[in-house]
Amino acid sequence: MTEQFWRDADRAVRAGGVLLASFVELEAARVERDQQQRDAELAEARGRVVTWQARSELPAELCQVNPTVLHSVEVLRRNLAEAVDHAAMSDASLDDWEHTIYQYGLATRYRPAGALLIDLVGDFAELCQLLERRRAILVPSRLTRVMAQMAGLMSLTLIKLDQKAAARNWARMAKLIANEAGDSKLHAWVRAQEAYAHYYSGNLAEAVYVAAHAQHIARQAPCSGVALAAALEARVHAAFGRAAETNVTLDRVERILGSMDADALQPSAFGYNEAQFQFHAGNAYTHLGDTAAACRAQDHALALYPDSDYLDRALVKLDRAECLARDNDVPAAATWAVDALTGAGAKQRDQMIDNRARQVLSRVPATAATLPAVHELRDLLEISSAQ
Amino acid sequence: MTREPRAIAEQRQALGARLAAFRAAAGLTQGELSKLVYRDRTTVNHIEKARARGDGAVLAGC
Repeated sequence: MTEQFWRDADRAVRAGGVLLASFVELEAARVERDQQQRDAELAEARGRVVTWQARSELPAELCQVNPTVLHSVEVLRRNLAEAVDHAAMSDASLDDWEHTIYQYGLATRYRPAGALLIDLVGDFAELCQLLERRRAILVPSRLTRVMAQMAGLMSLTLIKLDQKAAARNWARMAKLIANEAGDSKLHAWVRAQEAYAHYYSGNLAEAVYVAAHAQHIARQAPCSGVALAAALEARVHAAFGRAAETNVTLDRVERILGSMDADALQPSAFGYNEAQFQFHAGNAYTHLGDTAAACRAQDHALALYPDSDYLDRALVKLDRAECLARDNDVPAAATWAVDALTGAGAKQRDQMIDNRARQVLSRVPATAATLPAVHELRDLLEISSAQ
Repeated sequence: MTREPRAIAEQRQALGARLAAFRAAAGLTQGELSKLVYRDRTTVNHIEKARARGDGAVLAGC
């Protein structure tokens, strides 16, 4: 349309192509300027990542997500999006990347989200660089899979850090890449991640729609994406108080879980296992107010989760605290919430854990504010008694 | 908004001035030219006066 204007103007004033040529020249200068800006931003982002990685200790401020880190994440995502169309690499390199993504899947179960995000940013920077060097050749489908998984992990990690908008952006990115890979199970997994991003953003309607789509894509095949999506669907039904639908959906999750391959059952972001199922069932029953069923599932989950799986353990404990608060046992509720926070450890206390603990605290009546466990909970959350 | 580099701003001004010069040589007013290029007069005026934003929104919006 822009070019059309200059073409028309050229003709109207009989400029003989001079105006159009000048415009094309101006556009070329603009494109070059934009590219320079993007290159500078990327170089800066990479520089920061190298600096973080060079430090033997992770600076405390980077355990939290600060705007600089998020900006780097966003710059890298845009760069990846540009590079994703054209690339190629050797089988050995692909093996390395697949191994890297496998390790990341496992690390999500025990590594603090802030630290994981920095690692992911570092590897994304490298992947972008690699892709840039191989423009104009098609991306092998194995690499497309790796990229979709990485983008999904980025979304998952950002959810834990309570960066909802960024998590949704990455989930969308993962979906686009997974589409290219043509693998329905992978597609279901990334759609499940997207559903979780909506769920934790408070958009339950969108979460349940995306979760249903994830299950539809894989035709209910027994895989982690379908199990994750179905479990989320059950939790949304429960949040709306729909007990019958919750139970039907939980039964479906259990059946899927029973049919999954052993590989898919491992404790990884790419897997789904009994511990997660019990956590999700317990969470659903907590929403429904069925505290007896919730406590049974929570006990089961805590028995199955290793201590290193700090986040899910903390969330299960906070569900227990929620149940106890509902049952008016405020001292026990506060004790469980304190246990959830201290069990995670200061460095592993992702924003998601603190947010849930604050929800539990909000259920504590003013008359119970003087209880020692409530005091401790407030202290841990750095909330003054006056608040 | 990103500040437009001087070189690009000058190039844009030159393009606007060139359009104005060709239009005058063709004996057209801004209003007459705007009809021939299916735009309103203000757009033509802005382009000639290089009153585009740093990101080229007016030019790009043509």
